[in-house]
Order: sequence, then C-alpha cells, then structure tokens
Amino acid sequence: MFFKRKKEVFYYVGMEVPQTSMDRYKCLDATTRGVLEKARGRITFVMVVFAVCFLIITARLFQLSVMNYHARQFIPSVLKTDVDFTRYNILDRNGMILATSVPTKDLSVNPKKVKSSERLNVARELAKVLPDVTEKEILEKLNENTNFRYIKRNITPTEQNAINWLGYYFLQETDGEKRVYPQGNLFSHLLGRVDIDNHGTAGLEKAYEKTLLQQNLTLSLDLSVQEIVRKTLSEEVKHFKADGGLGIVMDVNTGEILASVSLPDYNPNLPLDSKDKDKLFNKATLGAYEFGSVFKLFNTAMGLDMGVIKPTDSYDASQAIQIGRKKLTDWRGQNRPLLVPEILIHSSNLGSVRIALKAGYQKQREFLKRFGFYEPLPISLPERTRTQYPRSNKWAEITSANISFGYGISVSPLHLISAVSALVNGGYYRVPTFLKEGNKGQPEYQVISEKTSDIMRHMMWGVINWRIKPKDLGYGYAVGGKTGTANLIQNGKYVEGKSRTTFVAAFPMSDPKYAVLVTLENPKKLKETFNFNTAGWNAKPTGLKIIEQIAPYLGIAPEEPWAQPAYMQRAIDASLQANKRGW
Amino acid sequence: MKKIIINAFFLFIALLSGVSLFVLKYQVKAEERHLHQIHREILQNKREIHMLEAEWAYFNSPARLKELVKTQTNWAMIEPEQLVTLTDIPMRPREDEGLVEVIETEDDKLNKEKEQKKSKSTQKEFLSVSKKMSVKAKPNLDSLAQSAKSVSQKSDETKSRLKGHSQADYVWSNKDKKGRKDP
Repeated sequence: MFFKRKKEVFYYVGMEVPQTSMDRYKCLDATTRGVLEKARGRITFVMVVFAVCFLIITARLFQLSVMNYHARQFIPSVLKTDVDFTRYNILDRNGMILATSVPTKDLSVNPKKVKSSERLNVARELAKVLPDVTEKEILEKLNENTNFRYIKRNITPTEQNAINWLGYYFLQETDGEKRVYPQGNLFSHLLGRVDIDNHGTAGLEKAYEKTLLQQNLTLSLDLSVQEIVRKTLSEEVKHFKADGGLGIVMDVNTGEILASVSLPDYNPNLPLDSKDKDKLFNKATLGAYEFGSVFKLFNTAMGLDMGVIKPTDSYDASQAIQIGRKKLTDWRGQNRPLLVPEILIHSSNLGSVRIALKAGYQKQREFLKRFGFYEPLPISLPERTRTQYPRSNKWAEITSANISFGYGISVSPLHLISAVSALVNGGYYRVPTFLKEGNKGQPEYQVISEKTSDIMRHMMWGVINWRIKPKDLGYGYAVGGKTGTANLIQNGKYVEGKSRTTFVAAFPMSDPKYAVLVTLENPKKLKETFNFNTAGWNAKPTGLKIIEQIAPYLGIAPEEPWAQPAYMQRAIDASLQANKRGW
Repeated sequence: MKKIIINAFFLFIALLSGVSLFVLKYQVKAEERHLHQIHREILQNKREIHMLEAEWAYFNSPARLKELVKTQTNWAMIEPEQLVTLTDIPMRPREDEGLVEVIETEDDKLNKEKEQKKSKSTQKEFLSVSKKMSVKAKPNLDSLAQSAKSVSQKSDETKSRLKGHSQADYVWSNKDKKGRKDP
C-alpha cells in the first residue's frame, strides 16, 4: 500500500504541468547533480544506520520492560546477608556454644571539636554514665590534640542510651564486637582469650586464629563431662584443702579429649587482675610433674613387652636395695616376695626397681621414648611444656631405679593420660586432640603388643578391685587404674609432707572406652583419712566419683563381673592371704 | 505520504522507547528498594538469632540447669543400675498364647521333638547362662572359698566398713562417706 506506484496523470492540451522536484533536478548541470546525489546517499545511509540501532534498542527495551517482567533476574549488588562478625563460634562436640562474638558499640570522641571550656563538664557527665572510666581518664583524652580517641570500647545498651540522652554531637558510636564465653569458668584455660581487637592471645583462640575467621570450630570437648569433672574436682579440692587440682577425660580409641580442667581457674569474661597469674596456668598442658608410682605401669609394661618378665614371675620385696649411697625401700611394704601383679597392687618400689635393673637402662629409655615422653606433645595449644628427663646417653643405676617408680622424669598430665590410653586400648598410641575427629585419617603407632595391653588391663583392674569379695562382684563398671604420690619440689628440694597425688584409670576394663586422670596438689591429712594424704585417700576417690557420674552420661552400661586369668587370681589370693583384710 | 508514514513510525518507536524506559526505571527502583529492605531484615534477623543462640548457650549451662532441676523438680542423677542393654529386656510373649487353640500337624510334632532333643543337649549350657544372668555370681574358685573360711572372725572395724556396701562396689559410692576403704 505504501509502495503503490503513482498513477500517471493525463495532461490535456493547454493544462499547466506542475514542476516537480525531478523537473528542477533535471534542470541542474551534471556536476551539481553529482554532488547532490552523493549527499543524498550519505544522508540516507546515516539515517538507515540510526534507524536500525534505534529499532534494536527499542525492541530490547520493550522486551525487558513489558514482555519479560516476571522472568527478570536482578544482578545483586554487594549486599551482605551474612552476619558481619569477624570471629566465628567455638562449639563443643554436641554443638553447644563455648565462645561467640556479640555486636557492641564503641564510644569515641573527636577532641578537636570539644571546646576547652566544656571539657571538664563533658568529662564529669560521661564519668557518671560510664562507671568503668574515671573523670580524669576522660579529661586526658579530651585534652589530646587529635581527631579521634576511644573513650570506652564495648559499651552496654544502657550506657549507649544514657550517652545519647546527653546529646553531645562530638561523641561517636562505631560498631564493635565483643568476645563472650557463655560457660564462664568452665573452659577458661582451653579457650584462652582475645585482646581488645579480637585477636587471639592464648589457648585455642590463638591456635586457630585463621580458622575462626572463616568458620566455626568444633571441639572434642563435652560440656556436660567438663561440668561434672570441674564440679567434682572443686568439691574435693575444697574438701581435702588442696592448693589446686586437675582432671582430664580422654577417649582411648580416638585420642579426643572430652574434658580438661585445671584449678584454680578464672572467668574469661571478666578483666584479669595481677593476682590472677596462678589462675592462668594450665596445669594439664603447661605443667611438667613427677607422677610417682603411676610410672610403675610403664615399668611393668616394659618388662612384659620386652620379654624381660612374665606375669607369673616373682620378685623379692623384703630386702632393701642399696644403690650407691641411696637405700631404696617400700612405704608400708609387704616384706615378702611379690608376684608381678602384686608389685602393682601394693605399689612396691623394690619390685619395680628389680624389674628395671633386670631390663637395663637402654630398654627402659627406648620404651619410654615410644610414648613420646621426651618431646613436647604435638597438640595445637600454644601452652605446652617440654618434658624433663635424663639427657645423657648412659643412665646410672640410680637414675633407672628412680624412673621405675616415677621420680627423675617430669611429664605433663596430657603426656601421662595419652600413654595410659595406649596401655589399655590394645597398644596403640594416639596423639591427644582437642578437635572433634581431630585424629581422623591420622596414623596410629603401636607401642606395645595387644597381649601386653591385655595383661596390663587385668593388672590395673586388680589394683582397684583386689579386695572386693567375688560374691560381691555384681553388675558394675570394671575400673582399672593406678595411684601415685610424689613429693612436691620447692627450691630444687623435695618437701616432706607436701605431695602431688595422682589417680589414672580407664573403664570399662573389659573393653576400655575412656581414661580419667585426676591430680591433687598438696592435699592435707584429715581425720577421716586417718592422717594419710596419699593418693588412695584423695585422688582415687575423686577419680571414682567422676567415673560414677560420667559413665551413665556417656552411655556405658554396667556389665557382668569381668573374669580374671589364673595369674591374676593367684596374685589376688596371695595378697588376700598375706593381708587378711576385708574378709 | 511515504515520508509521513515513515516519520510517524519512527516517532512511535521513539515514544515507545521513552515509555518503556520510564516504566523500567521506576520498576527497577522499586524492586531495588524492596531487595534492600529484605536484605536488611535478613541481616537483622540473623543478628537477633545470633544473640539468641548466645543467650541460649548461657541459659543452658550445666551448672544453671542443675540448680533448676534441684529446685524445680524431684529428679535425680541417673544411677548406673538404671542403665540396661537391649539384651537385658525379655522377649515379648506371643499375643495368641492361651487364646487360640493350636492344632498340631504331624510336621509340628516332628519339629517339636527335634527342638526337645536340642533343648536337652543345651540345657546345661542354658543353666550356666541363667546362673550368669543372675545378679550375684557364685565364687568359682576353691582357693577363694578356703581363704574365706580361714578368716573366722570379722573385726568390728571390718563390719562397719562393709556395712552398706552393695553390689555396685566396683565404683566408689559418694553416698556413704563414712565407710571408706583403705587405699
């Protein structure tokens, strides 16, 4: 229709023919015609180009605005949907929060904007509202020649409200963040602390600084088990008037630490005092101690594993042993030959020394090396101690003898419980870890044979249960363990009357799942303990109380009496016969 | 005429694009406002949830819960004796026992005889197992029995120490503080 051909007009004679642009065009000369043609062509070309572009843009606009309205997808701008904290949470093995960051406000001031005549008044008003900051401190900050100064970090909402009511325009509130520990004292040593800018300065906060900036950290610790251990330990430390204590619970098959308590402790939510230095000391990883008779377990295991002794062997514990100028005896000794299980049951120094001397210092040194006693533990905590042991290549006889009953070698409690776990779990040493499934995929080291481990379990059971009548052996937890009492060292010398008592145990002994270590520092002699302060009177009942409470929680059901092999029965009979107690 | 039509067409296109742009601009602005609002609400909700989680952790501290249980309820700690395993639960008796007359076929009789023969041969084993299942196990060592007989008289001190001790003596009980044993 638009491109219909024009009809030819018939002109009569005499009619005026209108002059068209074509007629005028034909009157022009050839040069002018050529120029006009070129111009027209160019204009037409540009018009076409613009028309095409315009059509494309219009079509696209139409498509976007009208046709695809519902299918339109916005490209999101940089909008934060995650909570804007710099530090993630620390959780226990069940997902309970142990450490978290909460948003706060930091109060700051621009001192240059504060008139000098107003400063005193401002300082006075602010001091009324902020109880932690004195008027003098605020005035000092206001007098500084700077554009920015913090007055107080992490103000509470109440303080924020009061400051806003003051109406001072030169006060600023910036977003801040405070690290909070909802469980208070419970995990103080392990979690550690952060500084005012939320950088970790101690404990797991420091060890996993980079991880906490990206994701939550799940620990192997169990909140309930930790609470049970801490509460029981606190009560018993108070009861026995001890200077302090520690308790550790460990999974013997995975190396995971379920609880680690060191007393005294502190509340990480509160500012530290200069008097709190002792409270900051984590005895479990930072302390290196002589554990006394507990080391007889390793001495006996060494003899068995290296083929030096058999469970049916007997050693004389009636005669004192003279080594150089030192005379070694038993404390309240049996004064008779003792079978190997009886050496542990009655904690005989003489029996242990004879085993150690028979094995020789080389075997003894090599055996202890298997349990990592000569190196700091490869744990993630920055607070870990070096052990102390005889560094010389050749040990004197007296050194070997001392080490056989736990003197002359100082290790951390974490070293000890890891080693005892290896004794009872079939002989596999696993590095202790504070992370859930921290040892997954890690290699395990066999330090003793399964047969030796089996014998050690029976012997440890015998240490705890040898006095119980067989008819009274009903359903219960088969607990096996060893006590140890070591004199405290002050100014390089042993102090008589002051000791560190230890009880290490594992349960259930028929198939060990968990190990428990309890240490009390300088427990006192009480009337009810018949004036004794050895481990059997304080650390052992504390440890058994802890086991009694955590075992049901951990789902360990009581079981039938654990049958004992012939050599254990023989040893128990001999002990009962000799002591004639309890029957 | 052609020119008029072409001009009109492009004018229409221009108007159309103008209208589309106008509509699109305000739609986008409205959507962006809505999006920002939703993001702000999400952020605020996440912050509140984070604070609530921290409060939840504080209120669920075991020490606090223990106090509440002590004051508000009459619950006690689980005792070891309360824990049982699945094997300790006896099998459920058959529902049709005593209600339905059972008609025995010859096959049933043959099977029954076989089972009886089996049960006789394993009766001793069953008895020994049933003995084990009883709470108090008998001593199985002659030497222990003899040594028990040799202790003819118990001292008063021993009597008072043994008083109150139950079969759960594997584990030190914190109930009886008086009767503490020697280490």
